[in-house]
Amino acid sequence: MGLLLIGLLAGWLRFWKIDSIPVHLGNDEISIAYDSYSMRLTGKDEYGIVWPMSFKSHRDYKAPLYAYLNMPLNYLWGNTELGVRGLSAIAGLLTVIFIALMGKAMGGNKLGLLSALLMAICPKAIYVSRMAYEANLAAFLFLVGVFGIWRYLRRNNVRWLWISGLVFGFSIWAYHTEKGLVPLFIALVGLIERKRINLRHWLGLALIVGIVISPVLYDFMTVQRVDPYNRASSQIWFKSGTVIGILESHDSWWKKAAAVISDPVGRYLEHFSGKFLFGDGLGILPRFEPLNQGWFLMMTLPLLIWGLKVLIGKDFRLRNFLIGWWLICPIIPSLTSGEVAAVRNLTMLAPTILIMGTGAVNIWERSRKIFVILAILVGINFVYFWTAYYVHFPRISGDDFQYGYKQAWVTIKPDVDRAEKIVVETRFGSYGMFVGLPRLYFGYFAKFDPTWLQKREETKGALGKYEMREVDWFRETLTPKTIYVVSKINPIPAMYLDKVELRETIRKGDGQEQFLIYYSK
Amino acid sequence: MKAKNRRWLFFLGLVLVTPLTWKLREINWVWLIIMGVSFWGWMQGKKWSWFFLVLLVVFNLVNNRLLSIETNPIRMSFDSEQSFWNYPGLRSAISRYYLENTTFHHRLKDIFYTNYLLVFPWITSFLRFVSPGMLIRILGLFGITGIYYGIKKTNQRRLITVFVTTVLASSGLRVIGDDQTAWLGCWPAIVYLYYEATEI
Repeated sequence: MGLLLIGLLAGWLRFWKIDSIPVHLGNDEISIAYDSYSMRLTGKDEYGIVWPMSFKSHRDYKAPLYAYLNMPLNYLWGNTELGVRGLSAIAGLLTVIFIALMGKAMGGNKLGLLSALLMAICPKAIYVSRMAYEANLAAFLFLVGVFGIWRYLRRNNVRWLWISGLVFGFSIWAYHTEKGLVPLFIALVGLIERKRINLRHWLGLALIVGIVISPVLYDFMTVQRVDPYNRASSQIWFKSGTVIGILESHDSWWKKAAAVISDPVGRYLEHFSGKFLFGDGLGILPRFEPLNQGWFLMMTLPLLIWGLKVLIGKDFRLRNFLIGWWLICPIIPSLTSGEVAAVRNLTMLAPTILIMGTGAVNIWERSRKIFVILAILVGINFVYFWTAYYVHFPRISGDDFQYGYKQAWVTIKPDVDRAEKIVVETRFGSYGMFVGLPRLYFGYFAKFDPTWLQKREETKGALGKYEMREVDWFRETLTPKTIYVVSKINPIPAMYLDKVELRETIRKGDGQEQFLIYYSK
Repeated sequence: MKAKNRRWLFFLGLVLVTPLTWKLREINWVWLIIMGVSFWGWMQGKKWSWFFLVLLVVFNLVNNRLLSIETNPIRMSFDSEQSFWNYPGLRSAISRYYLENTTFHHRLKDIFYTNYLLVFPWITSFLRFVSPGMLIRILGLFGITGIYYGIKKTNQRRLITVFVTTVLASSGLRVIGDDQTAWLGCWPAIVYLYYEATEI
């Protein structure tokens, strides 16, 4: 009954207004959405590649599982926000249920339920479940894999291990981080439990993972050969501009070595920073704003501290397993460049929540009064998060999500058949400084024939009657029955107003203009 | 080498390899004395010790350029625009929240969107000071080892925790400040823990 209520709460927090919060499909979401749609109809992605093992997308070669699993949902829910975000929301909901099972297996019913509740209201879990993140799907699969391993260790039933191997393999199909994390985790547990596990079983696990991932691994190596400067490989820390700059500016080898080592070490430690985890790591509002949120609710910090304290003096096996799991999660994300990334370390959510759950159970057993006070504080903190995410975040985040392309499509939709040409500008934002992906937004929402994008190199970028480019009004030949969707920084000069009329202005949540829609007379 | 000499050698080594120590070169010797005296007074654990904690807070605010004290004529001024209490961006954000939230009844908004929200960025600022990455930058790896053993050996944990928390919480009142300066007031506590740690 408890789990059912928690499941309902988690479902509501993940599905409610999923089409409008976040305000628009983001850069990566629209890419996955379009590829999934294109695959469903033609078996080819945006670039015309047949059943790819990685989606080229923005040259980041996205892991393929999300787009493939999303195909039936795209058929079911159509080319909508739900049609691409739905899978992530389902994964988020299943994560809540599996964390309950994991907690129950590790420490009993109370741990299971409290962990599930903490996961259900965890800001980061809600945030990623409401967007089409492959990393969220991968984190869920990874959790299932860990659950299988824990079951095997406790019950010595080898079938759990085979299930684990299969699911771990598919987590690698779902996201890049797991390519390094899964082998690390298997090695870590093998080391911790070396006296109890059967080596043949462990090698069997590694073999299953190896077999499952062999197609994506082969594809990964092919991509490195064919496109060595792809975005995924350029994200490795020693290829970042900062580290290369340091390497070039220092002569002594030890300074170079220090630069190369300190960069990922600093990033690893940043994953355990209270500011990041409980302060402003979620980054949904501008820096220093009072309602900014961390990955977890600020009032759950005492639970984490207390949980760690309890675990250190607890059952040796549980302690090593849980804290080991927690500590290795950020290793692979730390080897990538830039700030601590929003999604590369989603696997860290589950062990952190389980540690918090351990703390919560212990507080419940020691003092109900303190537990109730903490629960009230967490509840109030959650209301603050709720307003920050569901009320204020959609208003200020338009540019982050390329807001306006879908709204422009909805506006011109009734007139599309009568128009002879539709020109959509690629630039957007307050100063027109961002380059957007109108081809994918219009392709997805207007349900383009997928062959248009697949053959756009042959047709020199023409997509039926659509043109996606910048508009220079002084060079533009203004023909009748043309619709222009241009950035707000590019209004038509007054001298052309007799030929073209402003039909609509697309505004962001904060009321600022984003796109201007003109119809030629 | 005698055990006593070895201890002093370790202790001095630890103090010297701590990055925070080198920051002391930049500050006034009067501040150094006030830090030391405040720590000594607080560690007495008497009722009057609270006075030293208040003294520490006042001078820590001066050190973080939030409070300025002039002696002739005697005048104190608080740079409230640099503090969480009055930072323009934070105040305007709260006003914006009030207007943006059309879901809540205005009476609820009157309770919800008030100045106590400023406590969140202040806690975030405090959490930044005690993050593992910051500790390594301030203390270095050897310093952290020293602190770990110092905490294990000392029986004055509570007093030291209150002292360090007071310094960091008062430093955290500044919205944008220097991290090393924020930690500077903790230096006597750090040295004390090193001293305890090196006991053979």
